[in-house]
Amino acid sequence: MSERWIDETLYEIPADARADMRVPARIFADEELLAAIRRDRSLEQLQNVATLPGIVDAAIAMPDIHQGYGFPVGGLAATELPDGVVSPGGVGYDINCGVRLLALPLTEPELGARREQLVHEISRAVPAGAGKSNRKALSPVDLDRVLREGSSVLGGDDDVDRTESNGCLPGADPEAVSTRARDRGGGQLGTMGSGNHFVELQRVDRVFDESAAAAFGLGEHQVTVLIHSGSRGLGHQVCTDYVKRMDAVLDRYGIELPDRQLSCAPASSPEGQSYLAAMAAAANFAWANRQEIANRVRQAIERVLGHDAAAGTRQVYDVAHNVAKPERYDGRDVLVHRKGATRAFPAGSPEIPASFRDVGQPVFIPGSMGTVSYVLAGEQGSMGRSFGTTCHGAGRRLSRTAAKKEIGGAELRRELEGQGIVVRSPSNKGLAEEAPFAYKDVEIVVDVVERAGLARRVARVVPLGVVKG
Amino acid sequence: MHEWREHTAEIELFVRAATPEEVFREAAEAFGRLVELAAEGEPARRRVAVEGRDYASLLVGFLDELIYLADTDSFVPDETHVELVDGGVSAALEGRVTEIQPIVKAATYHQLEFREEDGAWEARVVLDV
Repeated sequence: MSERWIDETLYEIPADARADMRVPARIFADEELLAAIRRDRSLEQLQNVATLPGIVDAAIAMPDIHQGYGFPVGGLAATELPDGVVSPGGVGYDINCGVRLLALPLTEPELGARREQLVHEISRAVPAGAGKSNRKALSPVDLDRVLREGSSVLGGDDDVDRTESNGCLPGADPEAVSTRARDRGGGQLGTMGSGNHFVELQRVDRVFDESAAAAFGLGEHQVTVLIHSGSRGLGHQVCTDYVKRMDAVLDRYGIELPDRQLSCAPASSPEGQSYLAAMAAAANFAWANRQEIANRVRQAIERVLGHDAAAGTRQVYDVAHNVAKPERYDGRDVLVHRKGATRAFPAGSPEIPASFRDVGQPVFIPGSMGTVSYVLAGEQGSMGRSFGTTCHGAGRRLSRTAAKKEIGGAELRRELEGQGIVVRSPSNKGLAEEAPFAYKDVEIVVDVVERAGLARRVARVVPLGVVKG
Repeated sequence: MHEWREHTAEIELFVRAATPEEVFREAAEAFGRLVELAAEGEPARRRVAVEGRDYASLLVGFLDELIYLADTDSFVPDETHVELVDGGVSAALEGRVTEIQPIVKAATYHQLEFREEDGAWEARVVLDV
């Protein structure tokens, strides 16, 4: 067999393309995106994933796929339980990096000129996390609770109910998280981190599906806040610890890999079990982190817009895009590794909060800085074609160096401000690295997942202000 | 010498030096200059020791130690004294506690290389940022 288009949005590299592949590699894309994807080594990396012991069906890429290290970013791998492998690299260093959307009880015209002040207050309330200032200090006991229980330690019932897995993965074991991981992340709760993490103030500029948007609590011109962050140094160190630990026992389990960074062990092995317990703890830390950020955003809203605006700010949902979860498809128990990919369960799923159950799970797709972002709802096609998964963002196109060559940070700041977007970022360099043209066009990415039946458009939001780490 | 090379989402460090010890020293220098926000701060010293099965694994472990020190202590190295022993590397670091940008999450094994090439030593390591 040779490479081919299965249909207009799904491309397949057959399993016999390489001697070591166990399953095909499949890419959701169109011709234009596929041509862009071929410019880096994403597809080779996806084929490497297809060699993992216990992988079922296919190594699957979303249209926002780009080259990573080991696993590409923007894809998923499902391995058969109990003995298929779990790979820390298949989740990534930023365990449970994800996005949370808050909806304010007001429209952009109502916000008016207070916009700049609100962005400024949010930037003061939510630090990037460098240095030691403005940190929420947690006692070791409290940290253990956060690792075990996640969002609910810091958030109210309504927020917790509107969070994937209710903000807590079962099976978390604080003991499986090293002292070093605690040292790195323990003081970082409520901080955003750097790189592509941000808090963005937005307005809904277009509604595609009125009834779904109403169920999500969104209407035209409404003001929203999108939070993008993860498990900070704690999650990074958990991944570091277990990549190393599994790298050391590959021979014992007879595992051969085309890339050492794919380091893995059977999910049922002591190493696999221990990683899953540590990963769940780090995922819970990430949910608590986004909860703390949301709490601080509400405090900023209260300072600028008053108590009623803060009290009326509702969480739409919170989704993880770097995590591995046991799920069941066609009577088969699998461990779904999502790395830069979002769960997108359709209407009717018992995993979705009751208020959205007729609509489908909310999914948030941040575009690049200064452009548009999308609110989607999970569709039936995701269950049969992509283990209940859709894309997670626009997807990087240019390296950070290339982006900086194209534009200076100060120039980009002026450009964004010229478009009426308030920018708060400590580093011009960091700003330039995230320039919009460094990313693929989110419109095309979203168009592909909609045509593929993985998710549908509900609303589009545009930025009013951005706070970057 | 060292240089940062292109990679779509991450950054790759390439180092070329006369000895394996110098590769470690150069990597520490590159890392320090990458994460520090200013060439000032309070003088400080740290020691790190790492075990591993080969030079390449040691380099990843060594960089992970530097990432840990930067993340927890805001420490960046200026002068590094490296000792390679059987199955391990230990280093005395002279540097500063200063303002850093915590951009590096980890050193990875992806396309990792550490080898002798034309009478010099070369290493490549991809950092997750």
